[in-house]
Amino acid sequence: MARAAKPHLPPKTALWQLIAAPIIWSVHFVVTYGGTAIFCAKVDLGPDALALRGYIGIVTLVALLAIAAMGWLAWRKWDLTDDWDYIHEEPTDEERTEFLGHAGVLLSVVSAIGVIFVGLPGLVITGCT
Amino acid sequence: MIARRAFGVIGLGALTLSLAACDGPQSALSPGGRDADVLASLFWIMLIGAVAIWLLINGLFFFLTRIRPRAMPRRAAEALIIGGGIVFPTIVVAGLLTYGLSIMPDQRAVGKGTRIEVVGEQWWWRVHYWPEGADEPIVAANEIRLPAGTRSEITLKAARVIHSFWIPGLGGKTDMIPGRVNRMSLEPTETGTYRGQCAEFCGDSHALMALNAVVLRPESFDAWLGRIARPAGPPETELARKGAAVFLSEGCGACHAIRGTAAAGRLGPDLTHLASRTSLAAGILDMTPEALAAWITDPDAIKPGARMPGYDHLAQAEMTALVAYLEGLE
Repeated sequence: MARAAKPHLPPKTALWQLIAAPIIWSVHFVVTYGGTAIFCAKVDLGPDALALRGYIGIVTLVALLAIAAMGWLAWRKWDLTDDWDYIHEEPTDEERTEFLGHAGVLLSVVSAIGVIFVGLPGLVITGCT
Repeated sequence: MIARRAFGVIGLGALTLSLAACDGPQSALSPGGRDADVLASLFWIMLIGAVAIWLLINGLFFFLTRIRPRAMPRRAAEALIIGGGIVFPTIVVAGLLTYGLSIMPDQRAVGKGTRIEVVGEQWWWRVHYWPEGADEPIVAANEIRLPAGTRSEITLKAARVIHSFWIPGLGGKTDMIPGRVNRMSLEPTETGTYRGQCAEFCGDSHALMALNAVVLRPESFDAWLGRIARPAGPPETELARKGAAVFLSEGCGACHAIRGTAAAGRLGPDLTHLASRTSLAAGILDMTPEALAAWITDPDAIKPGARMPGYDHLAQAEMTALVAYLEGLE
């Protein structure tokens, strides 16, 4: 009986790239809310809380750029425009890689939307109360 | 057929009943202030939006399963899934979120004029009015009065457990937390009496912890505030004088204050102008002699867990005199 060929797994980096965008989203959440709490406890915000809003804006921008980078990596892995393939059912290396890329793109989109929603209050808040 | 008609009648009846409940002194849907107005609009926008989306989704479902149950071209199906499942909800939620966030700062705008401090007690409200520049507050209880057309600052505290201060006809609710000072502001626009209710479970008589909020024209508010700032006048009738003696000899003054007398207790509500309030026992009884007598005789029967002891040992004549005295505290 021949031994089954060991499947050729994608490199380990592929897995963390898959979840990188949601992790950035969650870190952005903690940094935004935690930072706001620290601002409110320690800093005199002055009128319109511009410093706090600037902080939220910058943190949000950085998170969006990082997610965009992750999305771009995933998009390249998916390589959609190559063959317009978005069903990954075959047990081949190419299909596995494209699946991870496809899922990574979708997770990046969800994470970007999440980050924007978390950062939105920065547009309207005028103080800590 | 008959069953369907019966359902129709019941449904119509239920609708009428539920709409009738939208009116009245404790409804967020009949707003009497700017904040409540904004919240009512928010509710209607959300409701209309939800109904529209419900009809759209179910209409689409009906159309695709009953009217045209055929396979869709792949392109159209994908457009429907991505457009209807991702793009559309994202845009709708983003729009609602932005709108919801945009109304928040106004709800928290700083008030001016007399500041009102309300402390949640079990199960009543301690109320302090702080006119601008005042060194000490004007003490009242179980009712707040506000000037119409002005945004008033309200400071919220709690004595032992969490409460929540909510007058639906005037604005949103804010928690009262022991050891914390919360704030809110209200801008009533219409004069009238609105009912408030503790909105955070706080023990036995949580449901019986209410208060009336009376909105007055600014000049009436100032006149009223001037009146309650004064100490209580001396009892005017012989009966009331007897009642005042009962009040002091029974030790009521250990917990209750009546400014201008020896009674200076701070444990219970200030009674200096008790009879001028629109309700008794924190919004649950009318201010009548009968209700006063019933309350004094057995507070626990009216408000389970109330810390005031019952005075059921008082002779009828003593009770009558005491009630007459309290009725005179205007």
